[in-house]
Amino acid sequence: MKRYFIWIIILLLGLVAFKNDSSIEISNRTLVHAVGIDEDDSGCTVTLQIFKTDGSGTDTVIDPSQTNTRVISNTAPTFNEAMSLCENQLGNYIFIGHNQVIVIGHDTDLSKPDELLSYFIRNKDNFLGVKVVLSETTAQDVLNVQIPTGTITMENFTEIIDMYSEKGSAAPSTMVEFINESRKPDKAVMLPVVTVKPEQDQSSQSQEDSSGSGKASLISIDKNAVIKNGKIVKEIDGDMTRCINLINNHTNYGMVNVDYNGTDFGVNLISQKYKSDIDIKDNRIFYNVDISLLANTVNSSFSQTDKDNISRLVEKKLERECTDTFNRVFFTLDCDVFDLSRRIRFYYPEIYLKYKDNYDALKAATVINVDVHCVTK
Amino acid sequence: MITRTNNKKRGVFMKKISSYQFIALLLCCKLFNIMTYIPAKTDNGTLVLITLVVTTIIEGVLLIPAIVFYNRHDGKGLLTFASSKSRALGLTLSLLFLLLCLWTIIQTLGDLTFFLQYCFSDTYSAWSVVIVTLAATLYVSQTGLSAVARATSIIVIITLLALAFIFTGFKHHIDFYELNLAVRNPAFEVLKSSPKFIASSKELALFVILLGALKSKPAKTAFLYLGVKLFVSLISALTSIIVLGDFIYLSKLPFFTLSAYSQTTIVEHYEAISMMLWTLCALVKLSVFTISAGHCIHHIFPKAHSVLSYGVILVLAGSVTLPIILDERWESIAAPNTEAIITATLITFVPLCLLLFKRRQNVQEVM
Amino acid sequence: MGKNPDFNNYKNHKIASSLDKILLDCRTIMGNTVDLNIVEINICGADCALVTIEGMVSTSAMAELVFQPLMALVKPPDVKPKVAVYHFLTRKSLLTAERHILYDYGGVVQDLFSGFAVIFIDGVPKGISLGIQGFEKKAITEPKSEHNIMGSQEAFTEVVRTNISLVRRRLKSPSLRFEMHQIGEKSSTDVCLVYMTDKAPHEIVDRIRKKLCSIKLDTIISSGYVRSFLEDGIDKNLFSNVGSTERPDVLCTKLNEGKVCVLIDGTPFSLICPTLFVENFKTIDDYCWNSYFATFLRWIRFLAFFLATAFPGIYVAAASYHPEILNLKLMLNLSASEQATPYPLFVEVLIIMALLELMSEASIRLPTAMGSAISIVGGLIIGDAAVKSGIISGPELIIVGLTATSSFIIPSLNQQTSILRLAYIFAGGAAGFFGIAICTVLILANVCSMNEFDIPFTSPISPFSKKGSADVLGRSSFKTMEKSRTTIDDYTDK
Repeated sequence: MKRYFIWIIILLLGLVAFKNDSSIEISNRTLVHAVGIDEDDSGCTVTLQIFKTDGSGTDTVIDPSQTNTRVISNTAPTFNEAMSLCENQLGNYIFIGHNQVIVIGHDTDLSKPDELLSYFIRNKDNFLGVKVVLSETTAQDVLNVQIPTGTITMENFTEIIDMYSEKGSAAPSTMVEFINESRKPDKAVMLPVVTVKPEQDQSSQSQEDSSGSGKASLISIDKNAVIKNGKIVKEIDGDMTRCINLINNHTNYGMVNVDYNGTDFGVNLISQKYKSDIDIKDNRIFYNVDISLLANTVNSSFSQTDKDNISRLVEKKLERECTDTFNRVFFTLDCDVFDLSRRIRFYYPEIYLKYKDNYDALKAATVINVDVHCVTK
Repeated sequence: MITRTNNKKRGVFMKKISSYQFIALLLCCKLFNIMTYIPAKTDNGTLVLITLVVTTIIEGVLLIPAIVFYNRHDGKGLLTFASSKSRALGLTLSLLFLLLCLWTIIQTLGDLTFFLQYCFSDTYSAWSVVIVTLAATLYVSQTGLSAVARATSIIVIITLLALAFIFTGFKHHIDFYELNLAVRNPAFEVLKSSPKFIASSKELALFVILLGALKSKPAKTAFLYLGVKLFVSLISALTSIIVLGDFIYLSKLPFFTLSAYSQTTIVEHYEAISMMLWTLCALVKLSVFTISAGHCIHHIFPKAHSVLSYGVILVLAGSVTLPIILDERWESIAAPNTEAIITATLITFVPLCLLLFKRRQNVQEVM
Repeated sequence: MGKNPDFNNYKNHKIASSLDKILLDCRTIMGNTVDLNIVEINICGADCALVTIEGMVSTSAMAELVFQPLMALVKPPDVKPKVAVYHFLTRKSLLTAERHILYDYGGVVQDLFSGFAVIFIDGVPKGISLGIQGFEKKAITEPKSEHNIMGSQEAFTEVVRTNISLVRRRLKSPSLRFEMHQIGEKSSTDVCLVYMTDKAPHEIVDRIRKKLCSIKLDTIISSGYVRSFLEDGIDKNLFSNVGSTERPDVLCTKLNEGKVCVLIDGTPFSLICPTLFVENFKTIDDYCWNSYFATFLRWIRFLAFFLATAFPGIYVAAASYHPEILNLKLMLNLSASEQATPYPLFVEVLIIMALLELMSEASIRLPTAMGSAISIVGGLIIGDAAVKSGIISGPELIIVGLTATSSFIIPSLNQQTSILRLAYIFAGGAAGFFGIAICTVLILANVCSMNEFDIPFTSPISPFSKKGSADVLGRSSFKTMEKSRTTIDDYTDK
């Protein structure tokens, strides 16, 4: 065939554009960086933090010292309707391809997360690794916080969440993990709880410098919510979260305070090795966790004996705290946030199949055994 | 021996292709299936991996008669041999393979259109995708098998490299605990899902139809292909399972979901890249099956012009596919068990019968 | 042959015996053209005439090499004057290095217009042509289109004989053959077929020879006239498997690989058949650098080709249809930049590509004195002002700068790069990555179907040849090249 057939076929591609009157230009898209979902009696309130450049018309259109965002909110009986109202209000198509965070209000029903997040699951633009967090109050409060660091607020927000996770103080919280956890037999999940705090610096200079469009506030993750069957069972502190993350091997770094010779020392921890297995003996399930850590102290004058003593102190403290946390969360709160069901499914699939619909029986027979090995440098 | 343009117009294979090119053709066809695999709600990840291994072994056994046929007849094509022995036999076999090729073209075209619409519904409409794809397939097919094979050698490298990028874009939680065997009757489940995998291996029919176009070493070609295919399938399935976990069942296309989840510093999400890879592999698959169908038509109508044959096949395929897609009934037309039986029959029993035919004929001649 | 010869039927017309008739015939054939010089002279009692074309012969060489010996000629006794002069000119003297005996006016015209001086003797129905060319010609200069740093700085000239000597000087092998053909009904241009008989496949040499001899054009002015006859698939293929070069060193390497080359009088660009796609990415400097650096530069060229051809289209596809694949900050910058521009991204890219092509064409055509003006106009005014006025956005300039720079790295593929770039932009703008995929497959199929002289254009990559691809994917070391010498015959698809 002659060469012009190639050009004819390429021109035929115009047929694709012919139907596609929605070849949406970038300028017709509103870039959403965070989505907040609040539910109450009046319906579902959707809050969006969107990109709006605060550039001053120079060669660089975006001014990184500004927040470059705007917040809008709409309430409707359903989430999809509320999103549609937002789109109408903006006059542009909503684009969630670079959505960084989904913030869920404290009182939102989480019993059917698949349905709650169905908009994001079905939308091919959405990134599955988007962070999902809980707000201490409403999602709207969190999204109204303007952090003037990074090009957009949410860039820093995700960095904050990642830093807490890295240190073990926040539960892993991507959308995929959240949905997978909610499909386990126990249906217990953990989500970080975001708190909005006023900025500490009260000088007039800093108040003048802060963004004119929002409050001068900070966000922090002091607690994590343990959720079962869609309801928050308890909000646990950072120490308990750290223990859960250690047991689940979800943390690489951490810090613990030990009392040595009457003085408190902060010891930085780096996770080195992790091993866990399940043993079933005498009708009991033994969940064995073996953690090896490398500890750093700030005091360089410690002798080797001191370091060994500190290592033992760290080991004992962590073993005790981890076992206590396990017992409190697993038995007292009746929430399996320790991935036990999947490990039983992995090691003993026939037992898992037998007790899948009666998971409480398995839980009752579980004993945890945490061994921590620490070496202080 | 090389014969020139007159024979080319009539759809006779001109030049033989090398073992590597043949493997590239088969692999590209298979990659399209891998990327558009839809898991059943009851699928277990580990069992899928086991089933892949089992079905690959079965496919290896199914290809043995064709390999023996090639070695015994010095690289002669199956249909050419059948036609030379008996016109009726040649016609029958050509018709059967033609129908298989046509069905595969319809399936591939429909799958591509369906998935483009499903995943990018605001961008691609069924009729425009079908028309453009058919036109492109016609052009690519008329360049000939050796040109398509050469192009496929490059496309398969691009695809595998892109897949490597996609699979390495996970700094997220990888969980090997998703590989569990919590299934009541694993052996039965493996046997139950094997036909589905064999049905999706219609590219093995290419091995039989295009046997005469292979330069040498059919055994090495077949088993090397099966090995590479198994490796790629296992990696793809394994990555989907350990990264996505149960989320697989919430998304229709695990590979697409996986590529959407993959993230690197330069490219944030890979779903558009995966769509490009589907299209590349789909075009290769459509082209090579069109050429094979044209080869079958040549044995039925020796004087038929090759480009005209390709055009007729593609128009027929398009006119079957488009109404089904527009009527939103594409997912209901799959029949894996039947397809598996037909595929296995054509791949194995046809060469086997021709081998026995030759032997019987030899015995009769001796008598 | 009873009719008098004229410019339509002179080629096979035999030369007359009478000098007056010969001169009349010459004047008739050439229409008494003002540059026809005829000097009638009597040498040793024989009436002779020296015919030359104004400006084609060297007058000083003619005076020294022809006139002086002829004027000093002494007729031997018992020999007729015309015989004595004829024998002196044809057997008993060595006036010039090249001497032809002509029997028909076709040869006379050919030699006269090639700068020979032709002597006619009354009573002898032949002409004797002596090679004393002295026409003005360009000196050997640096190559204008194929620059390099460490290789030879000589380029071919417009004179085919000079080019032959440049090649012969570099390949001192008796297997190197030059076959001269005169092609062009009116121009009779000297076209020289060059090959090494122990390397070039005979089928390829025969086919090219046959194609050259079958050209029926009136004039052959440049290499482009001949190229289109050497390629069978000229109206089907996007690329060309007939390459060209103006460097003698490059030509010699191609001859050593078994390729057949064509030198054409009047143009410094020679043709090479067949060329492979990957050869567009090789330069002579690669063989002067260290192999690791040469390999690095080779891959830079591959990248440049991709950037020049597909990058704008991929950018349009990603930004218009699949913006989720773009990095977050890039997306934000793009979004902010696009707010103020009036046209869709697809149209912007087309505008900027059109500007690029306009400036590129202008920079070739305009007089040298205005060369600096175009860089000011192009770079500052059009580029910077276009962004500041909001017609195009800032990121577009980066894209076009990258694309333009990349396309200049491989000048031999400039035509294809420009057109394919537009194809990709249209495909990406109309149908996103689906369009990009379709475009890629079509181009690949077209390129892979090129099989001129039974040698696939995409060799040695596809079909893969381990030996050949070592010098494609990188630059193989000279020690390796010593041991294994690849020729074009190794890639034949039998």
